[in-house]
This record gives sequence, structure tokens and C-alpha cells, in this order.
Amino acid sequence: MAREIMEKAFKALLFVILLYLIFLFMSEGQQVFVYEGF
Amino acid sequence: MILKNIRKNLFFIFFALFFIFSDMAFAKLDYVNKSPMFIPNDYSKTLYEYGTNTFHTAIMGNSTAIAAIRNDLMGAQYGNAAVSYGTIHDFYEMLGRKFIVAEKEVVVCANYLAFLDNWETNPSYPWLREPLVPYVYFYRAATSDYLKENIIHYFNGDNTFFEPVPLYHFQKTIAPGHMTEEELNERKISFEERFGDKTIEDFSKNIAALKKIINFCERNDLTLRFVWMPINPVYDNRPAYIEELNTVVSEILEENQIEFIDYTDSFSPEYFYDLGHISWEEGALVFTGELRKWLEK
Repeated sequence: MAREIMEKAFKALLFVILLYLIFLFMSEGQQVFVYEGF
Repeated sequence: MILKNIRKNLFFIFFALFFIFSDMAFAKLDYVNKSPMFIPNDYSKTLYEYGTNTFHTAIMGNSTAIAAIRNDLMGAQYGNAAVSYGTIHDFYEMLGRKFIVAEKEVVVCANYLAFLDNWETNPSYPWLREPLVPYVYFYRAATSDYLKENIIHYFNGDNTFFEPVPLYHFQKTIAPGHMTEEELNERKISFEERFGDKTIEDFSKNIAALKKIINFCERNDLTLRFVWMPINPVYDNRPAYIEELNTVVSEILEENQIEFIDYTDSFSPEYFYDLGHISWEEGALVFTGELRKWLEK
């Protein structure tokens, strides 16, 4: 049981990391705003 | 039965928990706005400048307030939290969601552009993140750029992960000098093209936001004051809505007994950089003196 919980927790953690990586790949096209003055 | 269901959905439960808690941690850490390794927006610059988001008197404004107010000449009780492209709605969000905390007083310094709905803005201002949007998703471009750049540097043998961005990024944009007559004329033409077709209807959301600020200050026992920021007298082809907006807003302020001052036509052209921004050298000095006199009278 404990092993099963650990495995699922680890797998979930990997998927969360994957989700964050997907966010970062989605950054294409979103500009970082740099204010160039008046 | 419940235990069986939990066991069956253990992966999704862990996934949701890890995601929610990590998102909360990132949001609390707020690394984009609080870490010097990222180019700061004007809100972050306020935090860096004062080291706090809590002020006895919070000055809320747009770029006209950045250009016109010499923070070093204001007293210690004042915090100038003005942001470029700031609108009245932004000021309400900043105060309402406690990005800026005023202990006693709020001073709103605005010109007509601070009331313009659908005005361009800096999308990295943290109050533009809706509560359910994940932090890393909202700041994905800044995060991704930071990681890409520093990973490349790292593999080239240069560890720049903790290197702050250059110092000049930490200062809000002021307006030194004066535009030439020709440049001012060009600016007048471009303003006519950009804003000439607006009507008072294009300001309605921000007029409503002003009422929200009035209510917010009432609820929180804060004194609210309002300043109409100066416009260069050479801007003589001003659209009619500027006067109309001034009347509508001034009526709202009077109805609610909010003290206000109208500097719209109070400064001569030699104090301006362009049509709406006070020049840093002479103008800001004079304006700051006038503002302090009014605030402390």
C-alpha cells in the first residue's frame, strides 16, 4: 500500500513538472513587456 | 467505499494537490516581481524603491505622476506607487487586492488617459492575473526567457542564474528635457489619430472604477484626494471629451465630498517634456512643491 502511494505520488509529481514545462513552451509569442519611454 | 474511491483516484488527488500547492508557493514567492533577476515592471520598481508596499499616504497615478513627482522631495509618509499606463481600474485593483496598502490616505493623480478604457498596458502587472490563472502560466514568457538565457550561459561556462538585471531597469521612466516644437506638433497629430475618435462612452468603465475607489476608501476609513494632472497648453487641438470627462469626474468628486485640485491648465509650456509629461529638471521640482503645499495645507 505504502509503495503504491509513493509510486502514484511520484508519477503525479512528474506530471505536474510536465505541466509546468508545457506552460513554458506555450510562452512562444507572448512578449515580455519592455517600456521604451514616452 | 470512500477509501476505495480515494485509492482509485490517488494519482489525480496527488496531481491536484501538488499543482495547487506549488502554484500557491510560486504565487507567494512572486519571483518575477520580487527577484532582481527579472526585468521589473513599475509596480516592482515601487517595491524596490521603498522596500515596502505599505504607505501612510499612497499616491496612485500613471506615467504623468511618475514624471511630475520628485519622490526624494516628498515626505517620508508618501509612497509614489504610480505605474506607466496605469488606469483608475488598475488603482482600484492595486488597493482592493492589497498590492498597495494605504494606512491613512490615498491620492489619485490622473489625467484623461488614466480614464481611458481599453488603453494599452503592461501585461505583467500582477493584478492583471485573474485569481484562477496559475502563476507560472501567467508569467510564462518571463520565466521561459529567464531559464533559456541562463541555461545557455551555464553551458557556455558562465553561471548567471543569480545575476541581477542591469541597474537602469530599476528606475521608473522619467522625462528629462523638452520636446522641440516640431516633435510636439508630430505628437499632436499622432494623438489626434490615436484618440481623436473617442467619446465619453470610452471612459465609462474607469469612471465606474473611480466610484469603486471612493467606496473602498469609505469602507476602510481612508481619506481620498484627487489631482487632475497638468496638460501642456500647446496641446490646443484637445478633443472635447477631455473637458466633458473633467466635468463628469469633478461632479462625482463633489457629490462624495472628495477634495480635489485641477492642475489641467496650471503649468506653462516650459515646464513640460511633451503634451502631458512634466519635465524632470524644472517642472517636477515646481510641481512637487505645489503638490506638497496642497497636500499639507
